[in-house]
Amino acid sequence: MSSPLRNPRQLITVLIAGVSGLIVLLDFVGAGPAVSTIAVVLVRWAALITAIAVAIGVLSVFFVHLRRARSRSAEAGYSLVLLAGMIVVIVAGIFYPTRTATGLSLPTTLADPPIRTVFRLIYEPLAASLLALLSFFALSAMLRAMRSGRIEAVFVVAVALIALIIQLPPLTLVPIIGQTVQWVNDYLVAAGARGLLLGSAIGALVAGVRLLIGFDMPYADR
Amino acid sequence: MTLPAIFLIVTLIFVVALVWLHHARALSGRLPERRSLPALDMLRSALARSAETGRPVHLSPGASTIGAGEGQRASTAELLAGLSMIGQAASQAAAGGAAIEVSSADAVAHLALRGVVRQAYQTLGQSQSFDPRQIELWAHADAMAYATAVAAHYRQAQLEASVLSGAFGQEVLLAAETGAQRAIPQVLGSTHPSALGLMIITTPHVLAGEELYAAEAHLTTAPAPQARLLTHDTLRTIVIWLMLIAFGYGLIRVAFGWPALPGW
Repeated sequence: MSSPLRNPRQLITVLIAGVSGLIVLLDFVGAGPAVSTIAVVLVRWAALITAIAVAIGVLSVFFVHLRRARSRSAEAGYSLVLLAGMIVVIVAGIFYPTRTATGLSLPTTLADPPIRTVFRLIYEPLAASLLALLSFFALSAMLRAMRSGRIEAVFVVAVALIALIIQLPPLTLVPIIGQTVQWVNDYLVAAGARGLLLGSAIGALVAGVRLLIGFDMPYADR
Repeated sequence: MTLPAIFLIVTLIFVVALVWLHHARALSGRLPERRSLPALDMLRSALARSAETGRPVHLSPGASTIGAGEGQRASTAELLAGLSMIGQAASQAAAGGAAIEVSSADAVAHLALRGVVRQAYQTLGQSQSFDPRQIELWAHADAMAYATAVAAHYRQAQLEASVLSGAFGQEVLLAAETGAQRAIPQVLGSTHPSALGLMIITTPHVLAGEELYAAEAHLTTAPAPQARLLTHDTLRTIVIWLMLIAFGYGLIRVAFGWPALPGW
């Protein structure tokens, strides 16, 4: 990797990224109104760039599926459904007026009708069905894990089964079992989850600092 | 300025100093011996096989979103770790002539992936082998839809292996179980306990917790990832020691009548 000091283009990129990151970080710890104003502008720019990226992504998806639908391949039907869904959501979310107390108005957020209605009637039942499928997938995975005989997989399955059984209504009424489950949740489960969380937090901190001081430049086109 | 703010700035300065120190150490080649990660050994061998069979290796940085805020399950850090890992896998694919296909569930991540994979091919002088159609956007900000898309892809494509490593929740089972049923070798990685349990019963090749952040350093000998891993390990050791000291203090403070630590 070439040093940014020897490459003016990289140096400018590193300076922009580092100074922007530092300003937002200083605002996070409360460095004053001047820093806060600049940080808000930077965050708004980031949001705008994200919105443009999403728009490019939407266009890309649209044209890929339009091409596939025209090619009349085996998956053309799915592409047509996707295109129809995309058009319905965009029209419902942007252009479809609804009657309010002050007259007709266009939806301002995704939580407004009619897009909320579209999500409630189509998306939510689909998502719920897929979530329900997870229990069958879990059963299938569990049976395969038991057949494979891998110690860690068998251990996970055994613990999951014990956790399920001891949470059945008749058993939760037995005082010592309820207290034991609570103790396991409060100490063992919480300790494991916090350990993972700490590892992730340290990883995020190191990745952030290295980006800030220009040791890592995933944004630089070398 | 408040006390937490001062603490944060002091911590930041300390971390910056550690990063400089370890970067210099990595450049001088003084690196400790590492344990091997079987999941990454599997990825290496899958890339090698792919060069012979022509079947692609599917790579995914997870259903993460760049800029995911507090309280959201996805995290930017996991996505960055996934991007780094995919960059290294792409470099190995470019060097060995293996085929890869990359998918994501975020429009910004999709653009970042294109950049990372293109750079990997470009750095090795294989620009002509890079095809932007290798990188596809299968969903946006919807982990369930993305997992379903991966499962559908598993049913259609002949894959050499698949890597799903990043911010995944329990919905990963939709894809992972389909992959297991079709005997696709999989590397699965996450930092979420709800996903890790399901990953462990689906495949023997799991990257758990911070192994996700160590993956890049295991795939390359370049100094930057080694320095990142060294800093990561040092900070983790410091945190463990601080917790042990606080625990010890908590045990003996009653005997000496010392005050309790805040929050303990």
